[in-house]
Amino acid sequence: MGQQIQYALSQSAHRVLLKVASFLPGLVALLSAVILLTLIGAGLSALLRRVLTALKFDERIAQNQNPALAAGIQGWSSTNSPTVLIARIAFWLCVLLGFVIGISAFDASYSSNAQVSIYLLPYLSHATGAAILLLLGNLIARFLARSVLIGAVNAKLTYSRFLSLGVKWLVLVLTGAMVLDHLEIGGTIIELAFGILFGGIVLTLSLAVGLGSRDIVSRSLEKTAGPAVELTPPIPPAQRVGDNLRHF
Amino acid sequence: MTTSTSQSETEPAKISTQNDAPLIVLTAPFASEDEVNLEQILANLAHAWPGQSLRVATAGDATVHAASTSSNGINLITYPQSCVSTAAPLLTATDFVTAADLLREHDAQSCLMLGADAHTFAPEVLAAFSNALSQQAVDLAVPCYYLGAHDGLVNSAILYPLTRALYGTSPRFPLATDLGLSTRNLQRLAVSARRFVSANQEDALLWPVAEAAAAHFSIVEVDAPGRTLAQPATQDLNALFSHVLGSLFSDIEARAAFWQRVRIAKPQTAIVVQSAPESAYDAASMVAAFQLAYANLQEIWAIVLPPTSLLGLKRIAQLPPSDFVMPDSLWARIIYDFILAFHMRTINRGHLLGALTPLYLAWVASHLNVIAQQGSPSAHREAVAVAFESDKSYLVARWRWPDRFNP
Amino acid sequence: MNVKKAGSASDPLWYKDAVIYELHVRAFQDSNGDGIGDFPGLISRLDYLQDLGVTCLWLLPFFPSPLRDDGYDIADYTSVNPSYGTLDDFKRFLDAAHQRNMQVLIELVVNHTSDQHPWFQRARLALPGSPERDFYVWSNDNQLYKEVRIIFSDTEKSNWSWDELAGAYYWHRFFFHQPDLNFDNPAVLEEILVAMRFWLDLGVDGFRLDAIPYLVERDGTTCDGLPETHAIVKAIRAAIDEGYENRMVLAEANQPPSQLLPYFSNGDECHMAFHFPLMPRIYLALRQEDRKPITDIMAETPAIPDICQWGLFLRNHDELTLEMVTGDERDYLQFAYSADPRMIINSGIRRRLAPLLDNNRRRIELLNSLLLSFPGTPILYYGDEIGMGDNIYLGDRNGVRTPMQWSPDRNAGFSKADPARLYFPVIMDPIWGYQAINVEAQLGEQSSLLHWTRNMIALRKMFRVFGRGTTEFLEPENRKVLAYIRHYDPDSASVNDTVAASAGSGDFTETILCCANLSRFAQPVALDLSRFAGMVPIEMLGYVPFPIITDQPYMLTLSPYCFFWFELSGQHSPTPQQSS
Repeated sequence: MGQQIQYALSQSAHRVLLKVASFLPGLVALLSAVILLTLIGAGLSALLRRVLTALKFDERIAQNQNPALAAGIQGWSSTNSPTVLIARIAFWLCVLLGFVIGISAFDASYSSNAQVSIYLLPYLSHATGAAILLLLGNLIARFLARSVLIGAVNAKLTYSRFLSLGVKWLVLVLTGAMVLDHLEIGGTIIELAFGILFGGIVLTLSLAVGLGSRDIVSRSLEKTAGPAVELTPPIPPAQRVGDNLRHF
Repeated sequence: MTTSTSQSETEPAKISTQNDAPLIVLTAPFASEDEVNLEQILANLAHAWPGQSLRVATAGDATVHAASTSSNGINLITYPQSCVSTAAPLLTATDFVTAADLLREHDAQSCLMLGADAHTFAPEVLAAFSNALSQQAVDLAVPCYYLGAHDGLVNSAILYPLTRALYGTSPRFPLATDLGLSTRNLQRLAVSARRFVSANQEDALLWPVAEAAAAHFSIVEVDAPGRTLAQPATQDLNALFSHVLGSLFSDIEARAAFWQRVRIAKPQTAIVVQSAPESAYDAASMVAAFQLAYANLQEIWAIVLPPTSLLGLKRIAQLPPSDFVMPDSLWARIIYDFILAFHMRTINRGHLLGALTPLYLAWVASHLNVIAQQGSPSAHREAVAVAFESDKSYLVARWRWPDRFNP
Repeated sequence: MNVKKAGSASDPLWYKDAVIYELHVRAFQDSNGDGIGDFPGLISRLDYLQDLGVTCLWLLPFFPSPLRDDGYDIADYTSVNPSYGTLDDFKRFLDAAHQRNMQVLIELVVNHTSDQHPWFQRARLALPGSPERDFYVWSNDNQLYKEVRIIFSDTEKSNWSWDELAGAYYWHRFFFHQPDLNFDNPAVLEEILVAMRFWLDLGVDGFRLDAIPYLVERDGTTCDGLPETHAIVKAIRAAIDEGYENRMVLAEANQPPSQLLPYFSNGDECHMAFHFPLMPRIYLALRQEDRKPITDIMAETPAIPDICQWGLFLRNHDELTLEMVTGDERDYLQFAYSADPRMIINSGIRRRLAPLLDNNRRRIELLNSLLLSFPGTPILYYGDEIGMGDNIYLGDRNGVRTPMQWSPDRNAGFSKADPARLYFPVIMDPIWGYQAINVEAQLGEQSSLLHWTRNMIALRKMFRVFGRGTTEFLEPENRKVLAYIRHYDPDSASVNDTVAASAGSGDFTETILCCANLSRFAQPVALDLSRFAGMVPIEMLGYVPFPIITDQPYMLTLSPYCFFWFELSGQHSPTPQQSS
């Protein structure tokens, strides 16, 4: 019996070590690919920066003054320098390539029967996608919230802040649902919950907008219907908003 | 009529010994129902250049205007109508490219670009333009419109004071819809315009006064009484405001190396033009809009404006509409801080300009109250311009050292 | 029988030359791994404090307390909170501090107690009108003292709270769980004196009297600084003078300068008082780049008895209080220094020194130079010597009471406990976190703020003028420059005599010219120093002689946020040989 126990232990240890041994090369390959490509990326980025600086790339772009390109760089990037932007893009492309090669090498090192890779690899890519979704969703939510706030204030809506918050949370809820769906967490429960929440927010916003926009709607109807239809009494000229002013 | 030269010449424009009449470019298209206006323009032009043959270019189909060709020595040229529809009747990049092409094609020595409703130009004014371009050989002739107290508010609030403070120029309408340009000036503007056009930004605005100042060209202002300006096609102030100011701030950013060196020796005193008195305007709604904006946008303004300006806004937000007056120094500081925020990309530029709109409307309400009390809109406009000039050092200092730990 | 131990100071006016360091035992060092600082831990850090150069330690309340107001709600006046150690630990700490020639200042919170204090528990159950009941201020309705302002306006809606057990309202100027003691009852003062003598007998060198303007209430008044209140404080002072030598009483009275004078009386009330109105104006002057807020408040500051002293500070454990400025000034300071509404509490700003100044080293040095050269005793808040940050997401004023950052190790070297057990989390963001800002790193870096602070404290201690001299503000045309003369003549009978002999020639006279540029840009300044003509300004940090003073305006160029301390020497020192 002792021998059997010993045999069972040694067999299981052997199996586990075998699994670890089959797992390690792939992991090492993944890490090596990422590190190597990151180093290559850093070198390439530095080289590009030197070359473009020597070629006075920024000055040439500025001279050509391509407004669309300039607006694009200035509006959305954190730097005003095309050289720095190109260098950064090159670096991060190499890092991304490293991850792709690494994950592919990780996958190739397994046999098709290996259980781990079936679950780990797709989950890794889904997790990466979910992280990107979350980040983008957050950025879009903040941007839209501010856009709505400014737009609503300029439209003289008293509930501007409420609208802005509502839009922000709409986008965040949508993002959250997409992330969870991407990670295949929760299943239909998430879809249901999202539907209820989203519908509730939309309904609340609709009510708020509808109740609060009666003045705007009636003014708009007045303009489109013309003098034949007067929904409200005519306002004396001295009190009419914006009629007499010419800003340009 | 009075003219004033704001810049001394460094290089005189080329003077033609042949036909001195400029090439007239009518930038606004004429539909068939506008024939009367076109005929009026042509008649005025003929009156302004008696006995001279004029070349007048207009957009649209030649057959439409065939009947309008007069026998007064006017050679009517048509050019393809641009499909760019601009919200405001302002000169766009396409207009400058077209004018430059026509100038080169017809070998003219100067060009007079006339915008929409040009039929309201009196012949004497057109003759003054002619005199400026041919006799005085200036590079840029800018009209001075005689507007009402409630007109040209963006110009009074921002465009004129800013251009005057930064570039040391005196034309009161830096974004005029009509311009007189020498060949070299127009070619220079066309170079910039072509970049916009090639980037599919045909409706981009150019700033001829700033361009001429930077090139040390001569600039003259021509009084244009009676000239009425066309209304913008769209009533969306926010979009138009952002479009114009975005263009202006970008231009300022591009010319930073120039305007930082322009020193104003002493504030200029310009001729105060008396305009016809208009009925008092109730600014209560604009004040209410500003107060709403103050309650909601303060956190955005706090990113852009220093504590002194925020305190100033807080004070005026508590004023009743009848007493609502924004100090000129506060307004100048606000504009300078927004330019700085635009330059440093403190927040998204679209959001930045959207957040400026309520502040501009507050200035309008204040302006209306001031002129209701003092009665002279141009006097207030000049006071605002002086405030901008006095505070220019703040803009230069913060541009060079953008530390936000400032008063 | 109690054995009275002497304090460590031999000079009755030791507080005039002191450099006080304010710290919280809970926040300084944990020795037993429970995540809470304690006295043994504090003892282990006394060498650091001695090396820093501070001469007096002010401890925030360490008494038994339910800690609903960080120890200012006291449940037992004559014991030590078990979390911080035992009474014996405190005695060992006191001895250790005295051995290092450091004085110890503790809190005496006499205005109120915790509602868990046995006195209050007894009062709730006592009959109305009985001595036990009258330990506190009771009323059947909440209409008494209606004009009195609410101090913690963010959290309290009234100065009265209903107690169900007592069936009456009780008065509290602060939190509802801190009922005010009734000093109209003589027994209260007696008990307070008993508690006070308890600590004095152990050898404590002084007390900070917390919230003393509010001791006594009278209807129809603001209940701030009434004559009866001053009588109580005088009684406390008299009791100290009667039994003990070289002790000090520091008043915490957030009042305008003119109303602070009564707290000094004729030198028979408090020895020191905080100069609350000056502190926010320093920040105002810095941001506005204009010396006027500072010079105006100093002009309003009355002369105090010779034996008395102002307590100066830039920050402390409370919020940067804005009660003593105008409405516009308050708005401006909030716009300027609190971008996030969370930073504001009770109309003050709850941030530390370095975050207030955007972590700009020059600004920090500038303000510290003012603190160390202005007329008064400087009080440094723990952590400001290394530029610690804060955590505005902690409630109340706790954001400025986070653990001291000693090293980049776990828990900032403050404690070996599980990080979740710490009484408050350590600051851990990339800019202010303990990995970036800590004592160990700054000790190893000669250019660090810690070394700078240590050197400045040492320099200040070399000259008595800073703690004992007169002050005269110069008025150069450039308002972005703050310039003032400090003068000290030990042979004069009083400060007034010293003023009369402003350019005295005694061997021990000290005349210092201080110049500070409040602007972020370089500034020129022309100073009228004609009455010092013939003297040589010697820059004190580097001992560099500057050009001799003449009858003409003395021109100086000051770089951004620069400050100069010049010792005006009557002898012309030869210029040292410079190697080529």
